[in-house]
Amino acid sequence: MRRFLRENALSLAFGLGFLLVLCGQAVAGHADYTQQQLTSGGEDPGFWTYVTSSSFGVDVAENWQSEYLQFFLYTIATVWLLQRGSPESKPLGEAGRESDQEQAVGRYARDDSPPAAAAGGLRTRVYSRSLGLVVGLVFLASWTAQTVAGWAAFNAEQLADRQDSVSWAGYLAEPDFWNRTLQNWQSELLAVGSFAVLAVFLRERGSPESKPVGAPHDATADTG
Amino acid sequence: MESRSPAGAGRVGHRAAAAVPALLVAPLLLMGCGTVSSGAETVARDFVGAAAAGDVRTECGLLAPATRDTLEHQRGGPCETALARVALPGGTVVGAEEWADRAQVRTTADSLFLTRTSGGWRVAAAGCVPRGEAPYICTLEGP
Repeated sequence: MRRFLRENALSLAFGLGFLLVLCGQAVAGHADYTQQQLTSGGEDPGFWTYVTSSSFGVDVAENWQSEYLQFFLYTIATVWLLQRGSPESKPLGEAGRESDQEQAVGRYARDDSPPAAAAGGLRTRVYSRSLGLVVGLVFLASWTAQTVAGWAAFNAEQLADRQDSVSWAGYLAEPDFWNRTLQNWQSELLAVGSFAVLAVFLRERGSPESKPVGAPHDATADTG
Repeated sequence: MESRSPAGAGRVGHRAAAAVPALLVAPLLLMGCGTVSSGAETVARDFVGAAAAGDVRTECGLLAPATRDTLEHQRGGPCETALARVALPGGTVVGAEEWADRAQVRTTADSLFLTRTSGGWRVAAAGCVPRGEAPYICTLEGP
């Protein structure tokens, strides 16, 4: 048990942290939503009604989609785009999908390679892009969820303000949708871009996200 | 679509990845997206019917608390007395839509806005006239 915890501490800690923070968001979101309801002549909907509401749904989904977009873009972009001196980059001159030998696929697969890496053909081609595919699909699913939940929440606000509802397509042209979307995207792009550059010059001893403390600034793809 | 992972197939990581879209999409089914609301429509029909019959007691009972408070405050008297002096267009219900805890019911002569309270759907505004992109102007409304 202790070994399991030690060897899976990263996923367990972040998974637990995610659940705690999601609960915190639900509590704070419920309080905020209730304040808005009381201001516009409504009532406290109750906690469980709130956490199954479109209002809570859109607040969750808009952040999920941007996080998965961030990892999707980073996964794909770092295949081709390099950054001198960054541990987030591959070595300079190695942009691209690389050879089968370098990637240990097909006849170059090792004994302990995943079966899909050794199989060859379509199965290997799909598996070779499975990380980007799954993260990209989760991004699309959560962005779609944001459009639906945001549409419902927006129309509820429209009716509360004595205005007509809009269609789903109409919501996609509303400033509310693009404001929610772009404010998340800009922050993710800033965080990723700035981290790639900060990691050129700054160090975090022992972290695989950083170069070793004594590594030179122009050492690319070096992790410690 | 991608939420359906083959039974017993894949490692934990694959199953977890496939479960994420399911977690995203499932709550949307519970949110009630603009379906025709029998509850709000019924209350609106009762309200309009009571107005046509001059049954202000029933009308007052179907008003949202905040709207009722506003009416009594503005008119300086109990709801029944105040509402008897308000002329509402009435009409026959022709359509309703419900979004979360808000609803709009259209009649042949009026638009009513409703809110869901602990006691059920209640009329938040009535006698409402559209003004293009601007909010409706309502004869009877709360905050």
